[in-house]
Amino acid sequence: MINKVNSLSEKDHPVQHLERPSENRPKIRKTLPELYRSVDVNGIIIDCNEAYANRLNYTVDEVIGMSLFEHSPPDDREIIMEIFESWKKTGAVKKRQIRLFSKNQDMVDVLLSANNRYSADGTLFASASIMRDISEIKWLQNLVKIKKYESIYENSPDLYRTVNYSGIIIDCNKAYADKLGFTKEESVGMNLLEHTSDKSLSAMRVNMASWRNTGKGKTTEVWMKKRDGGEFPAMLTPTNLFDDDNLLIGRNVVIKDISELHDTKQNLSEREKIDQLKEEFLSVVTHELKSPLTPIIGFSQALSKPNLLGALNDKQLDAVKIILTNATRLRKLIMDLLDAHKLELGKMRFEAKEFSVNDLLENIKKSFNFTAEEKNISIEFHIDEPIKITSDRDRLEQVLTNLIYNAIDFIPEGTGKVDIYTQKSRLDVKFSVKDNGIGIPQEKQKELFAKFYQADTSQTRKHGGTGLGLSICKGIVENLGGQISVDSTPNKGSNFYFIIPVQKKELS
Amino acid sequence: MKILEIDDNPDIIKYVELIATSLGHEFSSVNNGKDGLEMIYENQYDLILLDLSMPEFSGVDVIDQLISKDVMKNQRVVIFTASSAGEGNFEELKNKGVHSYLRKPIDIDSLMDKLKEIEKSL
Repeated sequence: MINKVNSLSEKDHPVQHLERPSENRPKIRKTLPELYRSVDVNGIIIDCNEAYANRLNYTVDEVIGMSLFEHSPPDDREIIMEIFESWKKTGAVKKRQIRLFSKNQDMVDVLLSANNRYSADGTLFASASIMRDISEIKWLQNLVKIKKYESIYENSPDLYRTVNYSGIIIDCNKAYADKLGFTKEESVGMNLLEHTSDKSLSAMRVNMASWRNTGKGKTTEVWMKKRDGGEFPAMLTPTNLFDDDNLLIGRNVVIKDISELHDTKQNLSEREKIDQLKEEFLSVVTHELKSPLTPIIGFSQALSKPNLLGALNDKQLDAVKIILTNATRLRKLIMDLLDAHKLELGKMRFEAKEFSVNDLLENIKKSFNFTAEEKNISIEFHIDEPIKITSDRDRLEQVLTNLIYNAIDFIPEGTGKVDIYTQKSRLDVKFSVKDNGIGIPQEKQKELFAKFYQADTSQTRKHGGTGLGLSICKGIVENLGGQISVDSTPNKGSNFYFIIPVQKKELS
Repeated sequence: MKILEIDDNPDIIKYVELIATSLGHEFSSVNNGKDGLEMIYENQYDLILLDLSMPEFSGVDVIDQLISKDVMKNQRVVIFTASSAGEGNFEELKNKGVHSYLRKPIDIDSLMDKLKEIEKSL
């Protein structure tokens, strides 16, 4: 039944008119103190006074015979029904606020009180309802003024508006008027729906209807519409206004422009999407890039071993070694790129297991034998006492290998030296990788660990690399619960060192 | 020893074959997991080299099938994986009975060492 009325309403009636241009806005007329109507037990109006008929733009003759539901907006049908049923049960209605709906679809707020009319045999046959028109804006404004803190309201940078029971704006502050592009005088008398974006109209209607039904207003996010058609997202926080008899007469609404928040939110979710795409892309690309490297590196290595595929002549061997060196560099670049990306996203996994640092260093030493021999440099591991720690072995190996490669890149062939030291205390182990290379000027030392940083861009070509190595070392060491640093003197050498706990506290 | 490699990249197979045969091993290969299972059911291998990421029927699928047929415990499986250190779920694979793994790109010395290590353990 209610649905039927609502669907009817959309066709021939109500609230819609409020969105029309301002010329058609309801004209609030002079208050007529007392409107009178009488309704029978079937809800049919059987009598009314001139004041009532005039206020609703009907003649008395037109009014008589109409249903009381036709004189209230369809949205309010439930409330009217409830009041009507309660009147039939209790025989009286005391000061209820309802909305009347005029012939030309103006809204009239009234206070309704009803008594009974009985027939000669004592049976109830109709109500005698007296209504006081309270839709006069001035009247409400005066009432509301007392209720609000005038100076805060006026001077707040937040937007304030006050609306009556029907949603007509009866007051607003300067910030509101300025933001919406109207003067204060223009705003007053407009329906709040005229300041609501089309995409938020139904949400706003639901919000108002629920407020009228329950008396409870809740914070809502809506899109506001400015005079020039521009829109902005806003957070609306309403506070109820009551008259002296505790009757709900309207609401004060604080309106916060949340454009910025909205943008940030949108950017965030877009960034998340991009991050996810980047991650997927990188993991696929890395996998695809690594696959062909196995045969390239593998066969180059096989070719350079004389006992596998037969001995090559010197020129052939040189060529194969160049292929191998570059393929190895390519492998490192791909690994670095993936690792840097994983660290950035916090997606790198760390395990903690007990292992012997001595064994690890022994392994690393082996893997550098070839390079040391080839470049005629010295790489020495100074291991004194046996050290066992609980940490991520593979990652620790990665950091040390990275630092050693880094050192090799900057030391002269023939006289170059890299020394690796360990030093254990009760809780930590300190690893140092010292070289006698070109060193790093003081002012560039602290930027060294930043991503893509190269101490001297002219060295990029000479020494290659993505500039990711040290930032990866830093990321890994920090994830292992430690810290990395550097001491360096130009032309004398550098000492990269880091300290990690013997017992990695927490898996990340 | 008798080695089976299951890998969808024929170049990697050729490379591993070169190393394995040069060390005197008997080498067979297939380029997908399903054929790999057939070979395992019909033959006894000392070592299975298994590529983890293959289209359709992955290395993990092969292992799961072997477990469900209750023959995994008879196998010595070494995984080839493109994942970098500490990644992937090697712990999980180890619990499923995988011997160890080699990271791609597979370094010639690591591969040779691995083959020697397993031969020694036989």
